[in-house]
Amino acid sequence: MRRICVLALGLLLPGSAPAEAHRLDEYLQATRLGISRDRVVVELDLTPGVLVAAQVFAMIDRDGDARVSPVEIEGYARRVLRDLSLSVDDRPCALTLTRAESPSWDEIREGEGTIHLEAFADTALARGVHRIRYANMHESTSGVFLVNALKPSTRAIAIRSQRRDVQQHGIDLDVDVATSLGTATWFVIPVAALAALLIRRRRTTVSCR
Amino acid sequence: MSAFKVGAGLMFLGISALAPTTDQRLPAEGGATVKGVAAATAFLNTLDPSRRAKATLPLNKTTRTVWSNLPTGVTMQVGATERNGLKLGDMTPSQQQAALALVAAVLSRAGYQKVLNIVNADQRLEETTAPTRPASSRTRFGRAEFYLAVLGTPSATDPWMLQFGGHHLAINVTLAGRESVLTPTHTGAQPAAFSLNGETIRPLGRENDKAFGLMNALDAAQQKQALLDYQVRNLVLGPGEDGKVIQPEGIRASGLSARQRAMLIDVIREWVTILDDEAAAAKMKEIEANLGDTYFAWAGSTTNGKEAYFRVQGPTLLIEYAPQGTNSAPTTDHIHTIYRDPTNDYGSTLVSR
Repeated sequence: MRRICVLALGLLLPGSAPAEAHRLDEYLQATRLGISRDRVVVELDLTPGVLVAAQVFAMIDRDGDARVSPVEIEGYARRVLRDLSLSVDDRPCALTLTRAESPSWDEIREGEGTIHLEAFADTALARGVHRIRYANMHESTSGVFLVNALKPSTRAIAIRSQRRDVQQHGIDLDVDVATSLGTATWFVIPVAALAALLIRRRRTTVSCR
Repeated sequence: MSAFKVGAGLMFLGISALAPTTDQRLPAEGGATVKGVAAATAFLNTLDPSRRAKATLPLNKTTRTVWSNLPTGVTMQVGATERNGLKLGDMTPSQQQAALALVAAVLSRAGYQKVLNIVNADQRLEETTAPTRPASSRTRFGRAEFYLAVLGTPSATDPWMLQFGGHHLAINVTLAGRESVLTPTHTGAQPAAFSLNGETIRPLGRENDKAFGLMNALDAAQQKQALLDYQVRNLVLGPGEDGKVIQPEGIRASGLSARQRAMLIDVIREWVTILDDEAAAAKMKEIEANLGDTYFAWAGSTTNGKEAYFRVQGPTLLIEYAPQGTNSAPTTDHIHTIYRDPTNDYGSTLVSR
């Protein structure tokens, strides 16, 4: 379900100065990836430091009224999404925006405001090992990046390895998808084994829908 | 029975009733819940109706998640604009004394001292930053901005919760009968070292030193396993990230020697033993039982005194320690940490009973 909202609105006040104790010239961007058989969810928290706050806010506040409208935060979120890439087995996946929340300018300018974005890509992870690759190049010169995979909620999906670049712009995950085992294990196992034989040639096909 | 100075070492500027001479005797042993109920009742009895209404909240899945590392004046990660409870700055000196006695009642002696040290550090931060703070800024640090909240009805048998927090501190203790749970809890410090009454205070110094000690006790192959080959500039599962579990990384404790495992346990103990001794001992026993499946990960320098992030992650445990330096200005003087139990944050197994 699509949900775009703006949490708080604020007025632009002159005379802002760096607050102590906080990041100054960096744009902290933390991504968490949630992986399930049919979907990869991307949660992205964006926290501009004091000295880059005005630059980031200018990208959001397109009409310059020092307030964030739903249209403006959605517009910024879509701009960020264009700087993200997600692929499964080298096939690019389209991300669909589901959430975009912005704090007020008062909070952003103090280096404490965090913009929350959420998007997803439909996938169809068949049984086998898949390579999921994610990268975030949004404001890459001022950005400080974190990217992590959440532990899958089902044992049928296991993250076998993860590799990042030094700055954590991106992550490569090797994900092993097994047959889903429910409570009807004794029924499922033989049926799944038979199905696996029948579709052996297609067992590592995947993709983004 | 041992004497314990509830206000010892805390910089209570202008509040003489909470000067270091204040004594309060606490039982050396006994259930923290019983002590907590008595202390909570005593604290609440000092409050007039309006303050009592502010200090008390129902305990539910929404109220218990309202906490943050952030200073007053900033919207928290969960969207709230103010912490739960009544802040010390809105209490009389005798109410402050009762409030701190309540915090002390549910924590260990060392844990309570750690809390005081963090509050003192933030008071120092307020004193050094307030003179140059823009008039328009709503951000506030300092002792007066630490909040105490009682969630639910203090009871020796039924679940209730105590929250004490401010900038760089969020103590969340859920109590239910003889059991108490400390997770999730955030500790932090800025400055990470300061002088008070001629003594150097490092609120998170032992955490830092023990972790560096462990990292340097690993051999080269073990270090390679523990080292993350990327920089980590912040907590991954900090405030607002409830209910999430990341894929473990680093070296498994099953690959450590007995001495190294003991050192890892000693690192973990720095967070767990903030809680009262009895509950902390039970938690440590659980953690040690799962130690073989616990991971230790490290990013940054292995030279103590330089910036390094570390993480300890097990089936019922997550600890992160993250210096808040930047690429252009690395620092060890501003630390954030988080302590979670992915299976029992907020004492969820106790509350749902």
